[in-house]
Amino acid sequence: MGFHEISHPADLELEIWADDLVTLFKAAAYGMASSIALEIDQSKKEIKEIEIKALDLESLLVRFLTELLFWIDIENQGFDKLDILISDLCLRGTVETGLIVRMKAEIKAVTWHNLKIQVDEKGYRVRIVFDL
Amino acid sequence: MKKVIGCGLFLIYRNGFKRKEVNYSMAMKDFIQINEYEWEIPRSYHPDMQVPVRIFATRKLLEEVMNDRSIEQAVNSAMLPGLVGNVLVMPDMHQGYGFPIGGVAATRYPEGVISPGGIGYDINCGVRLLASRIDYDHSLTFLDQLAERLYQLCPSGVGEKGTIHLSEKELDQVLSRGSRWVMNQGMACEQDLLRTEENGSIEGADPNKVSKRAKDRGRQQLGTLGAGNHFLEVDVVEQVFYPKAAQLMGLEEGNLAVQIHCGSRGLGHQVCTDYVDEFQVAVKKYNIRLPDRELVCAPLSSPEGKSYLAAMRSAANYAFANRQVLAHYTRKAFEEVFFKEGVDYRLDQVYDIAHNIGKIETHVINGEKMTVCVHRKGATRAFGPGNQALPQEYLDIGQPVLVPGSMGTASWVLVGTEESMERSLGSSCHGAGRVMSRHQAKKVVRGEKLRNELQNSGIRIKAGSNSGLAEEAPHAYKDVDMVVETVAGAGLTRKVARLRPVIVIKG
Repeated sequence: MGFHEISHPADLELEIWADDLVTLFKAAAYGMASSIALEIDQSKKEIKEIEIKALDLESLLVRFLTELLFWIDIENQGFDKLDILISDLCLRGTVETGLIVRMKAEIKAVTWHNLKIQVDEKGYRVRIVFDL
Repeated sequence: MKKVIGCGLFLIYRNGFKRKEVNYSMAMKDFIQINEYEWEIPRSYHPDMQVPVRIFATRKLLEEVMNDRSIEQAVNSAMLPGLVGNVLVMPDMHQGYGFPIGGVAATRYPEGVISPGGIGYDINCGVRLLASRIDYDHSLTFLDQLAERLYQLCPSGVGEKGTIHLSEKELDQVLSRGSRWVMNQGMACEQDLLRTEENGSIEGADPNKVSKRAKDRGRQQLGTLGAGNHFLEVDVVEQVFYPKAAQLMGLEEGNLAVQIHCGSRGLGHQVCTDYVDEFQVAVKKYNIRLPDRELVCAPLSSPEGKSYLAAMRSAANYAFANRQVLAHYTRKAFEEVFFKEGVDYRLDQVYDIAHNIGKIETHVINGEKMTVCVHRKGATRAFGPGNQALPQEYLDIGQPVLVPGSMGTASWVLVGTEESMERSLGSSCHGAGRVMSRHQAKKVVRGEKLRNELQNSGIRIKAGSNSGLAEEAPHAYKDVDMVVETVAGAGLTRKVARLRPVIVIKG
């Protein structure tokens, strides 16, 4: 599991890889958080339930990351540990959240630009462009 | 056709979304040079292109963008159904997502499509310019105080909320009425509205087409700049090139002016997110084939297309209102600092323009007068003289076009021309255009050093963080003078005045 930033003149592009789909989704979320240096108050964490459905995996990924961005923007809640499962194009689980104490950039949106989850013998791989 | 890929516990359905693989290996030989400032990629370049791509650039600017994927994105954009004329690309182009930044595309109305990705997430991101009567030399001793007050009154930066808290009903009024709502609150004058694109209140907005989630994001952000490349800048009018136009705009050499660059904040981002998601289904329903899912679209005449148009217009009104509120607080700061000194502190609006928007306009395309939906993503409307959309006082000179440069460098005021109406759907560039990633900029530029350099050159900087400052370093952008020389050389605009920054407020 991992992620790295790919050079993009204006926005943020991450390449993410993992052995399995759930880990890929987690890595995408952690990559997004890491890119904006998201830090939360570790002393007052809460457990929040999450359930996302979609028509395909790419939609599920965009909706999942968009949900996390919504919590950041509206509730000032960042996230930490993700405990999720994906089955039949439905993502369910819990997320540890806490008040944001630091964040160095604002992500406007998760885009669909050339979004395609690739699967091969090495595992899962995806590139995501975030609008900054 | 439904293709199912089995993968352990999971099934990946790719039911009906027909992705066309596009193989690009573009070189200068693929471009037809029209003149010194204009290039074409003909339809023959790719069988799925509906129209050619026209690029306004010098050879140098064009060669520079071959390093990123903006031209490839322009070619992809030229595959949208219902396009007319050419897909146009301005010289400040750079790689975005879906459409390139600097892209302009028109679809026939109402038979054609509308693509949220062709407008962008920051709906009606735009620029407002205010002119003062304050001489820079006489203002020098007050600029530090002015910078401080502007920074306090105009919230900027990551996660900043505004001081205006809107009820549900008030937010709906902002979405319906834009700057007119702000005027009713006593924070605008009639001239502000007359000198705003669409008078700051675009018709056809429908708050009911904006999701609760988008409204939740917008409720506390009215009157905020946001982060990234958004800014509020006090400039000095350094040089006037077109005295008649400058005089009509109230721009006098040596006087201060103010630029405000921001958009529709989280509300607009969410509107675009919602509809790009919804249109993933619409493209299947209307059997639209596209090379990139970010380009999803729906017919303008369809329920989905109509809903997006109404929601996008609502977000555009929010952005007009946002810049209007920021203009009000800018005026308050000027009044507080200069009134007691007996200085005429008034700030008159020059113009307010959108550079991420979709507009229904009438143009003559290939000799035929037609109504079209013009998508401008990182491109500015640049209507020529005589256009009835312009304020009365600008009818003779054409529409003001505001081109902010990178932080610490010049900005430009231009006007649209008759040629822009004929050749670029009444459009021009919107800024300098990035050439370097934010990550790379932070590697090569130290924020603290940059802050010192800018301050030593007479620019007062108020910015949230040094790393944010480094991301926006002048090195990360093209030379705005070269971009402006290109649109002026191509005849799309005429130069009016060059502005030099003296105060920069950034997130």
